[in-house]
Amino acid sequence: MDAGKEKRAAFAALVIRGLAARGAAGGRAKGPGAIGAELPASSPPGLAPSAAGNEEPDKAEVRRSAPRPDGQALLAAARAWAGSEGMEIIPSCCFSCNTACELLVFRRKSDGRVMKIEGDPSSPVTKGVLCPKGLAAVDLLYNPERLKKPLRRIGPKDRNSMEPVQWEEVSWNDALDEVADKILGFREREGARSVAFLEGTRRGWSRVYSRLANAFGTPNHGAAGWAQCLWPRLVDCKVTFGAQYSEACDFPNTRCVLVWGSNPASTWPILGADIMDAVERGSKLIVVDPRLSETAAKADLWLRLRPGTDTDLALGMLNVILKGNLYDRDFVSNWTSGFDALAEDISWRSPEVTQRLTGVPAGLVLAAARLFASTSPACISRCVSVDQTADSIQTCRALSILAAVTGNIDVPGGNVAVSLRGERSQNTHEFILADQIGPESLKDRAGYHTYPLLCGALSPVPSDHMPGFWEQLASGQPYRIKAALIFGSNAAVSYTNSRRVRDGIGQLEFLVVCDQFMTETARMADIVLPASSWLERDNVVSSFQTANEYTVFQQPCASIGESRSDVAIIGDLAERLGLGKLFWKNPRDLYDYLLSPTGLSFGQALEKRRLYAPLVFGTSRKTGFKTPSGKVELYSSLLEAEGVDPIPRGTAKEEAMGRASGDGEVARVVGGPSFEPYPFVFSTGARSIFFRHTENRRNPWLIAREPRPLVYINDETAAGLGISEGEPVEVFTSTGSALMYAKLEPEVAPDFVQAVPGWEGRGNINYALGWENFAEGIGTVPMRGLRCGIRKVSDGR
Amino acid sequence: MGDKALAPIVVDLDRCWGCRTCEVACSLEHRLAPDLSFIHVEEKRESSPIPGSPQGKSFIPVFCQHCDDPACVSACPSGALVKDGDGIVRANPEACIGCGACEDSCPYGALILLPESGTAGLCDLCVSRQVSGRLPACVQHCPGRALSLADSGDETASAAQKTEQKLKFGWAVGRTVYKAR
Repeated sequence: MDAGKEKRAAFAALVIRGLAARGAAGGRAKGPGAIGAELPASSPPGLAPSAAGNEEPDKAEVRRSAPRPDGQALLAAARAWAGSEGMEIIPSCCFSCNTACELLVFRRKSDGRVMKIEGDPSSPVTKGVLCPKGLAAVDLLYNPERLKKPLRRIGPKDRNSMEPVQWEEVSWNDALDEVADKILGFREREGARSVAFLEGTRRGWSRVYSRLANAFGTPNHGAAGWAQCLWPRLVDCKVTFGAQYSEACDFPNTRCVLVWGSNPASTWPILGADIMDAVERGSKLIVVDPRLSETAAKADLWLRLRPGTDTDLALGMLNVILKGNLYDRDFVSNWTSGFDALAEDISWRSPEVTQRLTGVPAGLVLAAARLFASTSPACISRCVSVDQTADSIQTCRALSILAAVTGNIDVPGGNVAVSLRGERSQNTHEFILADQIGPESLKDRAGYHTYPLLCGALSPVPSDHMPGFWEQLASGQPYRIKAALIFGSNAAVSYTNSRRVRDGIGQLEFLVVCDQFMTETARMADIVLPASSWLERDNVVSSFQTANEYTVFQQPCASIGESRSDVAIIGDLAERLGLGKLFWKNPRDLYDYLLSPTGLSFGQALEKRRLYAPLVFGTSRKTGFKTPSGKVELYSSLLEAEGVDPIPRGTAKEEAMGRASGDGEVARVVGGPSFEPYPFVFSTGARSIFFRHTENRRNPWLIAREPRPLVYINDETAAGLGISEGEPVEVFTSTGSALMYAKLEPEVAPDFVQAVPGWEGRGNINYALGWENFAEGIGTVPMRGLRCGIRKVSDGR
Repeated sequence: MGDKALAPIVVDLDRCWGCRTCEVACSLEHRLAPDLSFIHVEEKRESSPIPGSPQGKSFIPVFCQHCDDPACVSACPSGALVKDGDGIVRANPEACIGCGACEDSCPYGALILLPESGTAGLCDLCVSRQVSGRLPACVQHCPGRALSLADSGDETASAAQKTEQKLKFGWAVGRTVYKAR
């Protein structure tokens, strides 16, 4: 530790001690008597903060925050300053993640160079804040590694070769002609199923791409996320509530927030701020997370569950609520179906049993369940974690049921359905032309018979079960897939079981990758197409996950080399495939089409900056829920029809009781007996505010703050293994291993290890994730509650 | 700069979750090397509730306190550091000889020597932004809205308090305010 760092740490300790002495000790725990205590930072480190402690409490209120200046005034000031510096401001919105924070792009008038990016203080959603990814996004434009021209591979032939790849630059026309010729040839000779369309996280063009896949006629379409990201929640919303997305939280009106397997402070900062506002208003905060996350640090109750035991914890809490008559009787009797079956099925789940299954102390299970059920209104803020358990769809269902029986659905302060702001949705089977894939062709889809919730009609985008797809690619069975297009996805890194994925990619006769950078995946391609970033394109962004009431827009602020937007590339390719009529020549035509129901053109909408529609509550209580029974289906008839368990069950009673009668040591109870060489439970659930999935690892401002792949380990466990903070550690399973760097924390369970995914090279934790225990119905690859070993790496090995 | 005191920054520890957005905002605003900033977020852990965290894990942004009697100004042999009438401690790179005495003397670890120029650098409360009606970069962008400007009508502390503290510690009061419920 350098001297400066040491002094800062000492000063930070002094601030905490000073504030504690003034009567602020963890705030809410003290009850209403606590006052706003403030410490003028006056004491040199090393001295006791007695001066602060001596002050009269009433003198402590010497300072208040000034109200934040008016957003429009701040925007005007920014414009005036920019003008005086020879710059203009282009308003847009960020797409570093799906939050879609409105921002200002400062562009030099003389040469059009983007100089800086700031938050937009006039934004009703963000009020001007912007996270590091957005602030540092100028690098997306000028990073020297940005791809600027289409490239054709010269060699080596082996895609997995470690030799340097030889490329030649080609024109867009030549590149797209070649792509179209090749895939039309494969379709002609071997059928459309021999060509696969793969993509990454949603970025506005994703459904246009799905549309292309379906129009082309191939059943082989997929993404690294989907069954592992959002689809379980969406399918849950559909079968439980009959709604497309009904889990947005009305934070401004809530009195209790239950954050489940999510760390909004890092991953949805705008939601994090809403939660802090709620807490400041006096709302209660309960956080379920195996790590004391940034959000959990602010919680009244922190439930440190063992990763992957989410369903057991939710059902355990549910049983406390039902047994204690803490549920909303009116809502349950009028608006739910299947209550009795559910109540009977979980009646054995005492807090003690739940403790054995989840590692959460019985008293906390009880307290959290009671607090959540007796504080009204309350909402559940859940995220991708619940999509990544071995029973993902049931985890999601258990939480939806928790919200429903407590009467927190479709009410102010609860979980609410979000509608669009009048624009046309791309998230429909109609838009993606799902019906283009006929019944015979559907049978060619990997997993079609086993995972109906992913591959069939209930899926948001009917698609392949990707582990099966990659196995098929590698083995050539039951038929060969010859070519693949991969848009916006670093597939070689972002899928689990990376070695097997690489084997599969290695078998392809033809691979096209569209990306902004020469990723590990692009490096394996025959043709690389340079995609533009979100700073270079138009877009209509309906971020239902954060801005519940607004649709916002992007517009081009720069153009880099010959890179083009995915929508434009897809349109040009469609033209060459003879599908031009189904697509849009110019991306603006697409956005005009999407906005047409509002009566606005894209240009007019851009002028308005945002479309607004207030949240509407209580609709379902008037019209009924759009499920077969018209009610919230605690017992799901739609799942039953698909052969999937209609009730979330978690660990089976016999198994659980057998374990519970054991010696009670949690490490032995869950996930089978601990055994060498894999004594640790692990997950890849850790996320960083600086990155999103595999992105941002080339950005100097972001990488400077988290330069290496981290793995969180309990400090005492690490000491026992001779591992110190920051040292390289191998995380290994029977599938493979990754080289990561120890981040020691006292609060993580001694037998738990949590890795940050998304890194290329040896730090790619997906090498260690195998394909087994897929979730029933939807085929989720579990990424929580796995088994691994860890060892200190010395001398590079 | 003028003599009107610039509003100091108020840090609400209940709202700081340690995301380090302030560091990135500062680095970009001052065009520093990507790994440098004039504000740093420290972490403090206890096994019981502490100010800012019922679970015992708090985050504390640390930056120049713009002390009334700054040790760095006293320590600077070349007169490159001055305490201005608007309350801000400023570094004049022209006069700075890069000796590092200021860095050694600052009890908060807030001052750094910039590797490129070899001269001292520190938080200037984004004075150029404030005079043009904008918020300091860290204050505007803090996702948790943990940072804000103090109400400019208030004084940082009474003269009597300052004197008392100076007598006790030989150190004058700083300008940053930390608060927690």
